[in-house]
Amino acid sequence: MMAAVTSQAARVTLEHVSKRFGKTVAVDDVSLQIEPGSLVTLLGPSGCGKTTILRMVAGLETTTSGRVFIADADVTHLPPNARDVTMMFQSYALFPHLSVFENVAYGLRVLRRSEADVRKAAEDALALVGMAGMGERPPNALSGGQQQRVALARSLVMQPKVLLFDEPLSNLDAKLRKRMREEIRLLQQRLGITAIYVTHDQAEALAISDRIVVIDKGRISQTGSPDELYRRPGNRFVAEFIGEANFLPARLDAMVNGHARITLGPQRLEVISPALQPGPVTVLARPEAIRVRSQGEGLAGTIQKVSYLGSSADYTVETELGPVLITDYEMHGGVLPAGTAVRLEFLSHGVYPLPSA
Amino acid sequence: MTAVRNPACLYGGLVLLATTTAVPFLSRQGQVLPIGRADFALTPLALAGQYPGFWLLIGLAVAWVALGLLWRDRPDRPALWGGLIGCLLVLWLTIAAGRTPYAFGLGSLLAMTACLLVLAYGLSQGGYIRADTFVAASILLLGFFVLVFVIFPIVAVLRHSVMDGQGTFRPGLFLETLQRYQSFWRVLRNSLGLAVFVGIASTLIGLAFALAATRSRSRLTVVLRSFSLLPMITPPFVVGLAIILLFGLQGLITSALLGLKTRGIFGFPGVALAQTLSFAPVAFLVIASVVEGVNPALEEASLTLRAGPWGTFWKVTLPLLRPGVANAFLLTIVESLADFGNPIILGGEFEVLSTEIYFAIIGRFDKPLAASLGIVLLSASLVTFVLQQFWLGRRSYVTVTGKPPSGRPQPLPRGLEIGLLTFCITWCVFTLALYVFVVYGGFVEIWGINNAFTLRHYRQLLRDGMDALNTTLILAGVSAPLTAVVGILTAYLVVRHRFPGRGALEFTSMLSFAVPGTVIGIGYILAFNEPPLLLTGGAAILVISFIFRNMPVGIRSGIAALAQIDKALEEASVTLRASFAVTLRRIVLPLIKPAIISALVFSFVRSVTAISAVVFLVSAKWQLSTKVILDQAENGRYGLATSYSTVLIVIMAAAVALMYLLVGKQGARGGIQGGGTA
Repeated sequence: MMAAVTSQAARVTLEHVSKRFGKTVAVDDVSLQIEPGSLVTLLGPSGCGKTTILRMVAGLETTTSGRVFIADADVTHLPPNARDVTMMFQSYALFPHLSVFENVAYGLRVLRRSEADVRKAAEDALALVGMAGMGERPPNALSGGQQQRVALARSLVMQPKVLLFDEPLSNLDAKLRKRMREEIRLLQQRLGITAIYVTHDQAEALAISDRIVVIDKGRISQTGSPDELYRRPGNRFVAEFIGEANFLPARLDAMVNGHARITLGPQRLEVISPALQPGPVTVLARPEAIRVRSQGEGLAGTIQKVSYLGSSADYTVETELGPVLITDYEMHGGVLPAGTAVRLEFLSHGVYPLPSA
Repeated sequence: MTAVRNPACLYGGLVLLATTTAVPFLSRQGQVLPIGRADFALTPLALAGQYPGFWLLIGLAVAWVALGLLWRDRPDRPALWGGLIGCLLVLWLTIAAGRTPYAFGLGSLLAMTACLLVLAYGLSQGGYIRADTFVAASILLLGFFVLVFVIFPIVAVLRHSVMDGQGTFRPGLFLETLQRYQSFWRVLRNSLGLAVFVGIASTLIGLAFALAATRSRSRLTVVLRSFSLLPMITPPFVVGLAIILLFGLQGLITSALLGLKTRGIFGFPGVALAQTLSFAPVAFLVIASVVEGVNPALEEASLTLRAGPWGTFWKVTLPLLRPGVANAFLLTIVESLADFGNPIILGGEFEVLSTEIYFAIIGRFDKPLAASLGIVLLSASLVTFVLQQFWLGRRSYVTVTGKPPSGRPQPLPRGLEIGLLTFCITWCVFTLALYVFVVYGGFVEIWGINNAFTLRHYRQLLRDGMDALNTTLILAGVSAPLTAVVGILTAYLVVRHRFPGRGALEFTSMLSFAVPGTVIGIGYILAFNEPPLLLTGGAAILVISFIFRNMPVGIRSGIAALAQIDKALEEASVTLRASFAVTLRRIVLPLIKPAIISALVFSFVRSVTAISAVVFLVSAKWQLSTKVILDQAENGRYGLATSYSTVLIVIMAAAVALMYLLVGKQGARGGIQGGGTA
């Protein structure tokens, strides 16, 4: 049944792709390669151009310059209906005048498959997404999550070379979003389909992607695995966009074996680092890798703000290096009140010197 | 590049080959369809002896077939250049060879279509126009027809204003003609003065109705709302006839009631009254939609800031309505300028531009005069239209997002409400009375002189009037679906696709709204009265005038309906392997069915009630009911005129009722916005 899908999985390549709308440059010289069977997320703030890139892969937008390859064939001038990619939309885009079954069967009917084939494939697809038996319902009788599953079935039944996702979960509530993203990821891995996923939710991107491409103002800011991007961001934008970040002044004393010896406040640390010259440097310090104690060694500071979040507490501490945000998951001795004088200890796995500029 | 056969060139070439050998390229006197044996002397093959250029066309056809079978590389190049060359060739040959007594024929039409389709294929395969042949073909064909049937007639009017009887070009002729025409300033003053007066009157009445209908708590508002339908089902002379019956020489009120024997109603009073009665509902619709769009929160805020109901009304509500009121004002001015039916039977000595143009051509055969006056009328109308569309159209104080504003609107101050309701109900009663008298008039022997009940007029109608009625209904029935197709296709292209010339296509298609029917009428006579495009005297020109006059109805319906549909639905369909054509058929059309139906009905109604353009285009063989009614009214045969009008009212009412049945109130609303007079 769906085992045949794996052989369809295709490589997607963008070569120097740009898109201009009048005077505005929405996408600026983007080159990207997506390995077959992987899920790559285009991540960035609203208006950064990620959706435009996705739509150019789909063929819903033409490129101003550059080329798009799917399965090593140049599809730049092909219309969307000739590219063998399917797309999932934020608004689900289920055809309101067709039943759930007819929605899923739509593409196969356009291809003039036999009635028996259509029936079997559509029912299998519905079963795959957990919507078996719902074929006769009209789309507006379904909940948001159910509609999105039907949209997924509709896309998968076509056995496309690439599956595209345009912020498909933004209209769902938070708990449902978590569940759906896991299901999407599981299905994608099981079927081995190449997938390109667009979102502005960095947690979503981290959770499901093989690789993340961070886009800023139409340009690629950094590409890498979720771990690389979180622990070793290439620039300030990526560091700030993914996860929470503190940017603190420090001094790099020496580079030893790919590690840097830095002085951060009163602390000396040896941390993983890009190759940098000794001297003043800005370091990223992740809030969950900072220990707060009422006394002892470490950077001195006073708690300005406290937010209790149940499983953790957020502190904003004023120090000589500036305000520092700390997320405390351990909360020894309960939540410290504002005004407390504290000492901060930075853990080396959460500190990373940023490349200059 | 993989080996590719070029299907467009192949099939296009075969069609063209067939056309050039077997289909008459020209026709005698524009009789395109009846093809007799003699017509086969007019195929390109036969004509090639006289006009060697036809060999080029035949050669092109052969070349296409060859290219279609042999060309291996990019399929777009031969199609693009071949199509372009073909179009130009056909155009040139039609103009060169299509001289009296011949005109364009079926062959040239087919050849042109084939060339356009091949060109479309070339454009789409070359990566232009989103690589879709259907979209490219639609754009080219629509563009071509709009060029020929909207732009070309207007250009013909312009041309004839600077071209004298011998055909020489004299730019000064325009001013000379107007100077020579002694009544010019009087006529211009009349037209503009009438338009402004009617604009003000209609707008005020429309405002009263809008406020009363939307903000009153009384149940009488239902009556007021149905009032807005009347112009839709009213043939052009009903209001005029009613006024004559009531206020004319033998009028019920002037003669029978007041004992006056006067023709005073003829002239400015009658025309102004008739136009106000006719256009107030249009103003009502425009302003009502603005009133309903006003955010109630604004008025509620005013009340919490201590302003009373009157204060809120004057300082908040009315100012918010200003764009709507201004819009209605300009719209009714355009309607008044274009109006032909009322001035022609009620005008008397009061001459306006539209009637003077008619007399210039029909009475005096003075083409330069008709053309020059036409340009003056067109300019006045266009300026107003452009003002309304571009300057005012953007200045809305009200969000039109399709989402209804939450909260309930404030009711009017009590005194105002009572006053408005009284006035509106009176006006409605008066209007309805007019219709009653028109219907009644059809059963009266001779109005005012012999009031005996009779069926004589209806019997005569059955004897003599059925031809024109049948022609009207058939031609309107044929043109309605064509109008809907053209309009909705244009709406789809303009809303969902981006291509060079999109703005131009949108603007020219809507242009028909701004061009007065009279100008279109003389434009069509001037443009299509001589070979190669000989169309006058036939049914085709009537159908074509219906289609392109009413196209904006379909376009507006289509645009409004498409705005309600999530664009993602079409994108989803396209990523599921459906072409744009299949997407249009399976997804878009089912979802905009109400818009299609209302476009059909409104086109039909507007065609049946058309007069200002068709009065120039009817012929002995193809008569229309409205022209017949006009003739009867001009000859004082009010019995026949009213009985005929009654029949038309009944038919129109049935059509609109059917539409409401099929489409419901909401769907119909969108279509009414596109309504207007003949």
